[in-house]
Amino acid sequence: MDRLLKIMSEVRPDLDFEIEDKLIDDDILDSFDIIAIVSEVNFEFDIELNVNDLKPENFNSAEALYDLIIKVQNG
Amino acid sequence: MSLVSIQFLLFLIILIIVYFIVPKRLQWWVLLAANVVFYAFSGVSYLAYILITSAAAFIAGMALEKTSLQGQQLVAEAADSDRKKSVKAAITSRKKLIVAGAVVISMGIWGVLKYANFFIDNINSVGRLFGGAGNLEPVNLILPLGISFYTFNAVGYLIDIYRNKYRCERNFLKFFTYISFFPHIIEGPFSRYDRLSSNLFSGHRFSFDRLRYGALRVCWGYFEKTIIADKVGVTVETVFNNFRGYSGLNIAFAMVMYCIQLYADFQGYMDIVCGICEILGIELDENFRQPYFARSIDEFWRRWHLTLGTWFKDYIFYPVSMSRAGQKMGRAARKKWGAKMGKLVPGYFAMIFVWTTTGLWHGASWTYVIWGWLNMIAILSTMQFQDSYNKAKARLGIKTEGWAWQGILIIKTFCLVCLFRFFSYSGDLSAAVNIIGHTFSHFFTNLPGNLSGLFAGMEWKNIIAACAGILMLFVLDVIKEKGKWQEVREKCPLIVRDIIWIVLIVSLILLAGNQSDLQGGFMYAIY
Repeated sequence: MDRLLKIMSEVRPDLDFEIEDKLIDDDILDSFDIIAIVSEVNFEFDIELNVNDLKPENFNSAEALYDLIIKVQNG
Repeated sequence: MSLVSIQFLLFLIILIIVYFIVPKRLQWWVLLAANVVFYAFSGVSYLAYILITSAAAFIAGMALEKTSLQGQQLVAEAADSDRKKSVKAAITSRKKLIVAGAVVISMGIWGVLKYANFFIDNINSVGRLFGGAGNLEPVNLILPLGISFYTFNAVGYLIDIYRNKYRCERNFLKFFTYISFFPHIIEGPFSRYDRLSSNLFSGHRFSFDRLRYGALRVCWGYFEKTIIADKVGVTVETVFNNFRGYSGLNIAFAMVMYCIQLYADFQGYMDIVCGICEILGIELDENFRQPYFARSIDEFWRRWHLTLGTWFKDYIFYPVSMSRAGQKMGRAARKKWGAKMGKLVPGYFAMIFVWTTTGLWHGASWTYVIWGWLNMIAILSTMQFQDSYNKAKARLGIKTEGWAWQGILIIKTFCLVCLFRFFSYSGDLSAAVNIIGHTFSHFFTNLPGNLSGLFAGMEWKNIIAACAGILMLFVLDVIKEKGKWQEVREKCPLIVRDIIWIVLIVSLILLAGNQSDLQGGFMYAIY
C-alpha cells in the first residue's frame, strides 16, 4: 500500500490519498492523472491494468485501487 | 422527414397516442415501427446500410459474449497459472479478431461513403506532386441519414461488450430499435446501450406532468431552431457569401451570430428530441452544459457536444494513452523531463488521435483537421504552461475568483471559439485565411450606418424576435449555470408557464410559419 500511496502522491502531490475516497465521483482526478497512475502502477507492480479496469469504483480511493492490484496479481 | 415539418408533428402525435394505448410490454414494438417509418422517409434503400451495421454489431456482440463465457470456463479448468495466462491470451486475441471484423464492416461503410472523395482528392494531389495526371474522378455518394451517429453507437456497443461492461442483447429487433431510435439518429446524442436500453424496453405509463414538461421543451426547441437559429442564419449567410463587401466588424458580428446559430440549432434539436423522449418516459443523455460560459477551450469541450466528447474519451483517448506505446512514452518523458511531463506526454500522444478524428468527423477535409488541431493546441498549451500562468496571476495579484476575471476568461474563450470556427464554417483553408485577413485588415472600413446594418439581410421584425430569443436563451443558461433550473422548473407558477406557452406558440405561428426554410434541416445532421 505504501508503494501505491507514493506513486499516487507523485502524480498529485496536492492530495492526501489516505483520506480521499471520491476521487472520481467528485472529479478530483482528471484523465491525465488516471493514465499516469495506471502507467506507474503497471510498471511498479508488474501487472497490466487496462481500459476495462477504468471504472469509478476502482479509482475512487487508494484502497480501492490497491484491492484491484491485488485482484489482478492473483489472476 | 424533417423534424421541422407538419408531417413530423402528425407522426409524433400518432406515435404518442399509439405508444400509450398498447400494453406496456408492446411499447418497444411501437418504437421499432416508428423508427422504421421515420428512417424510410429518408429513402427506403438506406435501410439496407443501417441494417448491415446493426446486424454486424449484433452478431459480433453475441460471438464476443460466447467467447468470453467459454474463456472463463477454460480459465477455471486450467491447471496452473501459466496455462491460465495462455488461455486468457488466446481468448483476448479471438475477441479482438471478432471486434475488428465488425468494426471494419460498420466503420468501412461509413468511411467509404463519407471519405471516398477526400481520399480521391489526396491521391490526385500526391499524383500531381510526383508529375502524374492526378485525374481520378470524384464519386457521387450520398450519406444515409445519421450514419455517423448510428455507426459510432454500434461501435461503442461492441467495445463495451468486448470489455465485459454489460451483457449483449439477444433479440435483434430490440437491438435494431436501439440503433435506429429516431430521436438520436439525426444528430445524436451518442447513447450507451446499457443506459438507454433499460428505459427503452421497460414500458411506461402515461404521465400528464411529463407530457406538459416534455411538450413545453419541444416547443422551446422549435423556438430556438426557427426563431433564433434560422433567423440569425440569414445574416451569417448574407455576410459570408460576400464578405469583401462588409467591414471586419460586420464579419466578426456575423461570426458571433454563427456561434449563436450553431448553439440554438443544435440545442434546439436536443430540446425537441429530449422533450419527445420525456413524454414517452425515456431519458436521453444531454449534450450541452452552457458551453459559452466556459473559461477555457478545454472546459468548452467539456460543455459542448458532451456525448461526442465522452465517446472519444472512452474509445480513443484512454485506449491510446494506455497503450504500450503511450505508457513507454510516459516513462521516457518522466526520466528525461520529470514527473510533470511523464504525466502529460501519454495524454498529448492520445490527443493527436482524438483531435484528428474530431476534425475529420466534422468534415472530410484538411481544413477540419486543422480546426481540430487548433483546438488541441489551445488545450495543450493551457496544460503545458499552467504553472507559469498561475505564477503570473499570483505575481500580478489577480483575484481569480472575482467576476471580472471570470468574465475576461469567458470572453477570451468565446473569441477563440469564434476564431477557430472561421475554419470550420468555410470548410476551405484558403477561404478561411482570406476571411480572417479581411476581417482584421478592414475592421473599421465600410462600417454599417446603423444597428440593422449589423444584421445584414434580416427584416426588423426578425431582428427583434431573434434578439428576444437570444436574451431568453441567455437567461435560461444563467439560471442553469447557477444550478437553479430544477427549482425554477418545479416552482414556476402556472400563470408564468401559460404565458411562456402562449409566447412560444404565437411566435412560432407568426414568425416561423411564414418562413421559406421551414422545412430546413438541422446543421449537425450533415455529419
